[in-house]
This record gives sequence, structure tokens and C-alpha cells, in this order.
Amino acid sequence: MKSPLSPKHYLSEEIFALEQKNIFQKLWIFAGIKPALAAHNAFMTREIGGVPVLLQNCSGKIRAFENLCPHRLMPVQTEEFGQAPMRCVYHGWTFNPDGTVRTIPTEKTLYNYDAETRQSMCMKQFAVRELGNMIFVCLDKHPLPFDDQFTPEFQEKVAEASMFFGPHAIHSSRFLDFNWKLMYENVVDYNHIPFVHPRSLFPAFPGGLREVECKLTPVPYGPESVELRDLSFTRNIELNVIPYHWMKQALKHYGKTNRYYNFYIYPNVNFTCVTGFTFPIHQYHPVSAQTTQIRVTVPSVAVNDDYVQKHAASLRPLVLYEYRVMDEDFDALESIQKSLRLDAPPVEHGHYEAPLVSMAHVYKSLLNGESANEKPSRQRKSFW
Amino acid sequence: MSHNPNQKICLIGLGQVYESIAADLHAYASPDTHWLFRPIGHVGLLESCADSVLSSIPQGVSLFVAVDGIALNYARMEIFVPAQERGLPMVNLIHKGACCSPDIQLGCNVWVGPGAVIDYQAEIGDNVMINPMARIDPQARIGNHGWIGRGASVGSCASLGSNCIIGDDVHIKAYTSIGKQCAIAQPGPWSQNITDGTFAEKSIWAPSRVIGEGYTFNTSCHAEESA
Repeated sequence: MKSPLSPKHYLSEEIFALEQKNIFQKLWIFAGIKPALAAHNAFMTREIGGVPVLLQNCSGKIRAFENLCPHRLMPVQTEEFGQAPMRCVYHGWTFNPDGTVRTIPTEKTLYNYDAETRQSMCMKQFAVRELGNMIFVCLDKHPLPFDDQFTPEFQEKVAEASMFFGPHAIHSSRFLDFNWKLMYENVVDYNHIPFVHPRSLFPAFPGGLREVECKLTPVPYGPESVELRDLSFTRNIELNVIPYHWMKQALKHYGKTNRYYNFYIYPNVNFTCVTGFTFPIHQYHPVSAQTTQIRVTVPSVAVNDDYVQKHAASLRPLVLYEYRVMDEDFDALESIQKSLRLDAPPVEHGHYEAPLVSMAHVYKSLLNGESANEKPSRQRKSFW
Repeated sequence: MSHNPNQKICLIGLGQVYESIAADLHAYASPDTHWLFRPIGHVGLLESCADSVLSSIPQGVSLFVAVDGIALNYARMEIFVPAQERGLPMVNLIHKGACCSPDIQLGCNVWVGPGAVIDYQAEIGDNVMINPMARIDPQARIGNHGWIGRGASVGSCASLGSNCIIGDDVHIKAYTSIGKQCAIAQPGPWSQNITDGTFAEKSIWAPSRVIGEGYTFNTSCHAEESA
């Protein structure tokens, strides 16, 4: 079956601009993890849908703002992570927890704003939703109901797994030359595993391809029955990986230690749990039609107090394997992107790729600004 | 090289450092030194066996803990820290083929492998492993529980926080400041100052960093923002 998407969906800057406007500025987007903001004035900055976003812990409550001082549009926080009150480094303006201007140095002598202007100046605030230890932000003025994007069952599972996050994480990012959608297609397409990861990931599945196929194949539905809520899914499979001995004794773990848990959070996050002890979060952040920033956050798992420091350090060897698998994927996806051209024929999907076709239909609805949910979630069968 | 006659040293641990010392004992102490050995079968057993191993060491014996750099040297700390808490005497093992300036400061449980050079007024913390052919330049400072790889160098006046791993053939340039719990394992020169918990190595995208309590914020830090 032919893909509803043509090469222009992976190459065109116009399509990219539409995605930014109708997907990334409309939907709830994963923004960060709570342990990275677990103290007053802890903050992180990033971009979502082309908008600079600041997440700041204001006396225990996590708030999201457009990271721009209303005076000269200087970013209020300039580091990616840190701890500081909201104070613009350019002219020293400070802000209240609701984003309104608190103080302006030498205001009376230099600025002379009238009362109305003074009151109107504030940092734009965005909606924030916490799901366990995962933080989501919606840039839209009228945020989509959270349940319209994620089913309550899915929310419950993600919240439960993320509550096992420990106090630290390793964070890194990298810019790669492919369209962000290739990455989520790669996650759904299990059939690449024996070929792209023959010596890294594939041997970890004890049942071989048949086991992978049984556990990772979603049940294909016709495109008419698939909705936005269906694009976020969970699945798990047995893994042939033995966690470090000392970890078993010292750390709490999610689920079973011989399983690989996968939570795909549409549009652009793949959240996994390997052996119950590590929780790699991969986010495919679109930078342009042909460039994606891969943001990887690997939280530690909850630990006994004595082990807090130890486990922060132990993250390093644990993520080495993770990066190796990702690099193998990226080599393949960059090759695909390089060979794309506007007049190339659409992709010809096989039966096992039916979910990709369904996902593409929902994506196109979103791109056109249409509602991607038609039916109440309770009446629907599970897509996955 | 230790010249204390009739000294008794107990070598505890596993891995390459342990094997290297055990295979070349005369290069570390005088021939009349009495050696005891407490090999550990597996790194996963370190924590559970620490008490029994340390209790089995007779009085008057000094220790040296040799475990390779796993998880920023925390594995070695499973034995080193309890030994330190018990007040057990610990020695430094400096290979006779290493060259150390007389005015350097060494903590305890420091290993200096063959061919390594530690130049004048360098400061080395406790439980630091300096691998063969490594070079520590004048006035460089290395924090506790460090690991300096084979052929690596730490430039003049450079400083490394605690629990840092400097990989083989990494050359930290003079005056560079490296935070605690960092790992730099990309062979070649490194001149960038980096904050706590930063990892730079071939297999991890550089730079990666630890985020969270103690790294990007402190829960004890009171806001300067006043009411």
C-alpha cells in the first residue's frame, strides 16, 4: 500500500512551517522531567514549535513561559539548565511567578511607562501538565484537552513508569540530517531491528525476529478508525539483558527486570524502560524539514538514599549501549533523507506497516488543522 | 617505591591495576615487604564482601585498594571508603619506573604506574589511579577518586574535581578546569572548562551532562529573590 505521505512531507520547508503551527504549537509536547526542576528557581530552557520556552520551578510549582523579556526580547534565562530567579541579564528586569514584571531597575527615571503599558508587559505563560515525572507544555491559547491526545490508560502507564525516576539524569542532544517523522516511523517499524542492529539490539531479544514480530506488531486497523489518541502507545517484550548485580540490590525497579517497555508519546517522544532500571527518553525535535535535534534524557532510577551519589555516576556506562543503538538508527535514517527527492515515488508499505499508513492519515489531518479525534475514547478499541 | 623495611601490604581488588601490581611487586616495595592478597571475584561482590575482607586483615598491615575505573571509580570506593572509615592504614604504590617530584602532595591509596611522571607541586587526592606513561604537569590538581588513563596528561595548573576519569591519551591543557564526576575519554587535546557531571567521549555524544540535584541546582540553595 502506498504511503499517504510524499517526499515533500520530508523535504518541504512549507510543510515544516505547517507542522510547527498545527502540530507542535497545538499539541501537548513533552518538555522535560520533574527531577531536573526539583527545587525553587531550578529552570530549563528549550525550544518547542519554534518558540523559546522556559520551564521554571516557582516555589514548587512548575510553570512555562515564553523565554523572552518583554522589554528587548532578551532570553530571561540563558543557560539550558540552572537555578536562578527570573531576572533578565540585559537590563535587570525581574518577574513574578505569573510572568508579570516585578521590578525594573531605575524604572521611574529611565522608562516612564504609563500604568496600562506597565501592567500589560509580562512573559507569556503556557499551559503545563505533569504526568508522573514527565512535564508537558501546550503552546496553544486554548489547550487541547489532555485526554484528547492521550487515553487515560496510556496516561496511567506513563505516569506509573515515570514515578520510578531517580534524582538525576544524563542529558545530551545532537543535530542530525533527517526529518523528524523518519524517527517515529523507525520506532514503529520493528522489522529494521535484525538488519540495522544485528549485533547490538537484536541479540537482546531472546525469541529472535518471530518474538519481535509477535510482540511489536500493532494490530492494523483501517485508517478511518485511527485517531490522535491512538498514536501514543505502549508495548513490551522480553529482553535478554542482565542488569548489574549491585543494581538489583540497591535500586527500585519498574516492572520486570527482563523486559523492554516502550511508550511512544506522539508526536515526537519515544520513552522506554530497559530491564526496569533505565528510562531513556528520546525526543525528535524538528529544527527544519531536514534537520532534527535528537534530545536524549536518561533518568536514573529511584534509589535508596545511600546510593544517590553512586547512581548518578553509574549512569555513564549504562547509557553507552543506548547511544550505540541510536547511532545505528541515525546512520540509516540520514541515508534515507539524503536520497529523498521531490519527484521520488511515495513509499510502498507492506502489510506489517499498516500502522504507518494510519498514522500518516492522522498526521495529515493535524497538518490541515482538522480535529484528529472523532469518537469518544471509551467507545474505541485499542489500536495497539 | 616504598623503602620501609618489613612493611606488610595487603593488596585488595580486581582488574588490570590489581593484576599489574601483583605481577610486579618488587617494583613497588622493598624485597623484604610482606604481601597479602585479597582478590575479589567480581565487581558485583565488592559491597557485600567489604566488611569480611577488611575484618580479615591483620593489625599492622597497610592496604592498597585496586579496582579499575567502573562508574567513575565508585566500584573502588566500595572498599576504599569503609577502609578509610575504619581508620585502616593505606599506602601509595609508586612504580620504581615512575618519576615523582619530591614536592608533590599525595593523598592515600594513590597508584602511580610505570613511566608516569608527576611534576613539581602537583596535588593528587586520595584513591587516585595514575596509569602507566601518564603525565601530571606542575601545579596540576587532581581530586579524590580520580582515574588518569594510560598516556594521558594533565597540564600545568589544570584542576580536576573528584571522581573524574581522564581516558587513555587524553591531554588536558594547562589551566583547564574540570568539574567533579566528569569523564573525558576522547583521545587528544582537551582545553574546554566543563561543569560537574559532564561526559565527553566517543561513544556518548559530546558533551553530555548530568542534570538534577547537586549538578544543575541545589535544594539547599535559597533564592536570592526576596518577597
